[in-house]
Amino acid sequence: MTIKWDIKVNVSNWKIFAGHFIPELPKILFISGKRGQLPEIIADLITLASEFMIYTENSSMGQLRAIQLLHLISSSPITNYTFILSTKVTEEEHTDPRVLGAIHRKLKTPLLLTSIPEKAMVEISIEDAEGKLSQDFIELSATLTLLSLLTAATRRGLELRQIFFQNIVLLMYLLFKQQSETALSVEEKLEEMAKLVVFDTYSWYRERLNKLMEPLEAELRHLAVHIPAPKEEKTSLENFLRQRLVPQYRDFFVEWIEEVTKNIKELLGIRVESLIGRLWLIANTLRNKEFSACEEIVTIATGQWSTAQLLLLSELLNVKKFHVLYTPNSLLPRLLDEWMRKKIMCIKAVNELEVNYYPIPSTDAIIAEKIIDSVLEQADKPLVIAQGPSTISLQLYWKSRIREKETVLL
Amino acid sequence: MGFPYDPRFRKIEFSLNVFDVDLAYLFTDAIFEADGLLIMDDPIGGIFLLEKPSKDVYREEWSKVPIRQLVSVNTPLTVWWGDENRLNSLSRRLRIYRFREASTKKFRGNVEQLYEFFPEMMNLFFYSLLFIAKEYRNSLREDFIRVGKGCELGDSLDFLELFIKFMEEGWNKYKDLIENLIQQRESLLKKVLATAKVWAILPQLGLGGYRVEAIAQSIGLLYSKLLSISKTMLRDVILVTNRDLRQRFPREISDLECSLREQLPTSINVYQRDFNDLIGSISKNEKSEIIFILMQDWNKELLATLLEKEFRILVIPETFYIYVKSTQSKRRIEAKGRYLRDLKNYDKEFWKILALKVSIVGFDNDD
Repeated sequence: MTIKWDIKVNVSNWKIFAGHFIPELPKILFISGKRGQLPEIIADLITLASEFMIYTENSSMGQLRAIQLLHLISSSPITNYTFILSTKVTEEEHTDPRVLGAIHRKLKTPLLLTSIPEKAMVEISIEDAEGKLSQDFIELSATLTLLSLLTAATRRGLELRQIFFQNIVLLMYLLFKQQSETALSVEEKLEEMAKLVVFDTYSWYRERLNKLMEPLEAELRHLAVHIPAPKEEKTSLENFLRQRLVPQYRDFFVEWIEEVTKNIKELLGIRVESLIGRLWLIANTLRNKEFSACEEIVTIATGQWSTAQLLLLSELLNVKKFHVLYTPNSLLPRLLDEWMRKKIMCIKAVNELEVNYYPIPSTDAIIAEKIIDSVLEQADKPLVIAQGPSTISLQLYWKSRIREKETVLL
Repeated sequence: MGFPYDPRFRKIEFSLNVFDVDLAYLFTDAIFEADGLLIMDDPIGGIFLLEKPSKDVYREEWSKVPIRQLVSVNTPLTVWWGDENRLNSLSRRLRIYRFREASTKKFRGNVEQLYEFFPEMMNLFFYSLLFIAKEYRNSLREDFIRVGKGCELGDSLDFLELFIKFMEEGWNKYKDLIENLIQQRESLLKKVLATAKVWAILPQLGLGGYRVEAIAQSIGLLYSKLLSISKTMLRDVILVTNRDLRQRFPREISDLECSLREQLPTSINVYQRDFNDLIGSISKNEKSEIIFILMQDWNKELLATLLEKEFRILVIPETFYIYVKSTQSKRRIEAKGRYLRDLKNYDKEFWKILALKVSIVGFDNDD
């Protein structure tokens, strides 16, 4: 069996690959590097793949520790990433006890042994981009792409893919807004990564879901329904990678989303798009309704809640202040949004946002109602977008109506 | 052996079982268990897991530590507590200290009560406390402070301090209010269900026979529990459908109609009705005679229509946690699925659980 490498990321003497054998086996994460400061992308991979259980800063961690942590994450039963780890770390001093210890552990652990891969479907060199902003955006997109490819075939695994893809599209749009020649060349790289995630979702990931037989009656059935088969599977997927995914010259994020959704549907011959479809649905519903001017938005974070969704709502409704209720199911999207916004704080539209989060249980009805009351009292001239689980979205919708606040149920 | 700092600490013994936060799909079993918490004051500070070795120390207890580390790298250290002989048989390498213990009776009582009233919220809290890294937990601390606005939690320095403050001071202010709300909600539920002539069921389908069976049995159980406490005016049980449901699940709909007939007495008419036809046929006077029972989720556009027309809806969650006062396994929190079906053996507590879990929408005076 030969490994098909999906992506290769070059950053400060480090090479990171993601690839696969067959759908029955998890993806492979290959890391190769030299001693020295750990690139930020690896620290971010650890933080996100551990689902915020581990806090990392690139300066605070050695490479051996990073690899140990990635290995631990790959076997953790509660995260939603699954991958086989493969490493090749060049050490200068082989008599150093720490190095010997690390090599011993490597020989003992079930790492995939492979030589350093040479080529991948998409190749990204972070330092090749000009300017800090471009480099930061490429690095962030590469992190999100790598993680998308490593998501497990669980319900939350799919939601994470959706969130990451939506955020990659957002990064493309934000960069496009910079409207410089450098930005345009970086945007192409981001587009390649976005296409890779779409391609992988409708081919390898979909096939993996269909191969996994258990539990067919519950979670996987839900997932399989959401990822339709491309019309002429092989030809349309191959064709897809050669086509443009993003529009040219669109002023608003909402137009960008519509164009990306339309292009994926047309190129793959599918009726419902699963990666960015939720954003398209929200945009479509809100644009077809008339609202008076609002100053704040009250909403519920769903499993697909993302920074892209926040920016979309902000742009559509011209609002900067948000009150967002999140159930335990959407704890991860809530943490991801904050993490993502901190990363792109240099963008004015992101920096201006004020987002207040409130935890709310989806099935402890009495306290949920009290929290809804309290949030509605705090919001000034809000538009209430009730979405997500009916146990609380109906309550939010109803309470907004009786308080004569503008509201929509999605 | 004395401890050099002689710190004050709170030992809270309770069955701490933490579930994955993805309640809808991963609810079935706890991912993490401990016998309680040990909260140390400064200079040590922080939280430790409490573990009391049982008789079968070798087989059961020792394996818990590596499993915890595998579940999360962020798990707090374990403090073993209890009989010295058992501790020694667990491992000769354990160091035994004797601590001065602060009274935690009130504290523990409050933890138990909060678990009883808001198990999902408590699970979220403990999941965040035990699994999420301190740097990200701080954001969550702010979220909890926003929710607990008015209980003087704003000056809590960290997640743990917030927990201690709320357990010792904050909760007492709300205890009576919540208890009253539960009683009011219980009476309202009984009244609404007993006086309705029509129960209109909005079924969530899609998992083959599993949901059909669970929905029919839950409605049957609701009716029998109601009958055991009061008279009912129930005349019709309508299985509400729409075009999408009829196209996607024709077999499940007819099976559900049959199962509902089997679960309910023959004096009650059970039949199918299209959503739009049903809504169009109800006059203003008849509106108060019908209650919609939503089984977890349905088409949002149609649900919005119901609320715009001010119909009353009960929302029954498919899965939820409940607090169990005494069980053989000594677990305090259990996850229940299949709507109300797992509540069959609950008599007195049935209505209290319903009051805590069922959302009631469409009432003007629901406050």
